[in-house]
This record gives sequence, C-alpha cells and structure tokens, in this order.
Amino acid sequence: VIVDNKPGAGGTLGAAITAKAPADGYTLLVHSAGHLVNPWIYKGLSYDTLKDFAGITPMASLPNVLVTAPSHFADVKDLVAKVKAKPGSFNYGSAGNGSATHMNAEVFRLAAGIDAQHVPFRGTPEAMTEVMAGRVDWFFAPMVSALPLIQAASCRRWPWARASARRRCPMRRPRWRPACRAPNTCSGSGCSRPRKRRSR
Amino acid sequence: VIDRLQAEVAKIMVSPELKERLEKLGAEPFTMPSAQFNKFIVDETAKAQQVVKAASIKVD
Repeated sequence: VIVDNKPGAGGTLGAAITAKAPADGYTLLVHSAGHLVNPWIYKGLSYDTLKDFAGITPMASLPNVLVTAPSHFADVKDLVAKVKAKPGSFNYGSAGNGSATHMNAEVFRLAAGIDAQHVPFRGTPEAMTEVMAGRVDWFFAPMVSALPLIQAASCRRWPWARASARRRCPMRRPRWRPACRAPNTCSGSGCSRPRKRRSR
Repeated sequence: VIDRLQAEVAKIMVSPELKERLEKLGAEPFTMPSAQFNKFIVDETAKAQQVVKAASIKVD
C-alpha cells in the first residue's frame, strides 16, 4: 500500500486527485468529516462529493472537547454569559475552514446564540497553542490532541455529551449539562473510493 | 469490490489491538455497511449544508 499524503485546502486537493483515479478498488481516499462540508464552502471543486465517490466504510469516531485557557471561563455557562455580555469581543479557533472543529464550534455558537469571531488555523496544533497561550478563547479540540494537555491541566475542558452508549471515553462524564441542545461534537474519518463517472 | 473492502476494514477495526490503540488516543472504531455509509454521507452532507448556511460560513 502506498500512502500518498496530499494535504491542503481542507482535503479538497487529495479528493480531486482521487476522483480522477481509475475506479478499480486500488485507489482509495481516506478523508475527514470535512469532506462532506467542502462542497458547500469551496467554489468550483473539480469533483462531485456525492457522485464521484462510493463510500466503503467509516473508520473511526473522534470526539471533540471544548477547551479554553484555564483562566478564561469557569464553565460553559460562564462562557456563554460572558460572551453574551460582550458580543463580538471573543474568538474561537478551529483547525481550518470546514473542518469538524470548525463545524462543531458553529453548531455550539448557533445553539448558544452567541456572537464571536472565528479564527481558522492551519491545523489542530496551532489552535491548541493559541488557546493555551490565551490568545484564542476556545476551541473544539479533537480528543486525540487535547487529552495529554488536559491531563497535564494546561487547559480546561468540558466534554460535551454526545455520549452514545457505545462510547467509552477516557474522560469523566460532564457535570454541567448544556441549556441548549447538545451539539454533535464528533469528527470522523471515512474511506471512499472513486466512483465510475457516468460520462465515461 | 466495495463490500469486500468494507468487510476487510470492519474485521481490522474490531481487532483488540486496534481498539486499544484507538482508545488510548481518545478515538473509537466506527464502522457500518457501505450501503448504510452512503446514506450516512448523503444525510451528513445535507446537515453540513444547513450549518454552513445558518452560520454563513465563507472561505475567502
């Protein structure tokens, strides 16, 4: 198996190359949840997300946790109250436009009815660094990346309960239950192969 | 071909070694038959469209 990493533009570069590959089962695309967001935010994609790929299987579910710098907010309720008191003066990071960390933050923002500035970063490490430094107020971090830092207590966390029955998360259950509808805070990774184009 | 690939991946994903590795990372295996996955993709893509619209997300 040859793994050919084609990062960039939210995964659309790799997807575009895969879409043009022969549909023989030898070329596969491993993509993130952003694959399903990209058609709505990138204009002029050279492929059709639904028509040019055939899904094989999802692979893993990666829960996100809401993290902030330790000194910024006491809990989620406090966060919502502070942002409501000063709309537009807070910001939140993401691992890039259209990424799951971005979408989860938007779902949270809409559900909580708060107004804040989105700051897209190149990836999760950059966003985490800025949150820990306190320059970014919050970030829906993938558990994978946040866990070591949370355990080291360099940032505060409240895992949202999208606790499906099968999920066994290494973190404790959240003590605070959101007043708003709990957003879906899972990002994911799937595997699709190019679908035969109808025109050929 | 798709079903065979799906079955192979599903087999790997339920292996205890991989499960343990994923859990240590804070992730969990997540598989479903390809027909169901394709429906999932269609549904989730539609949901993404709603969020993008509601939040007026634009890439400059």
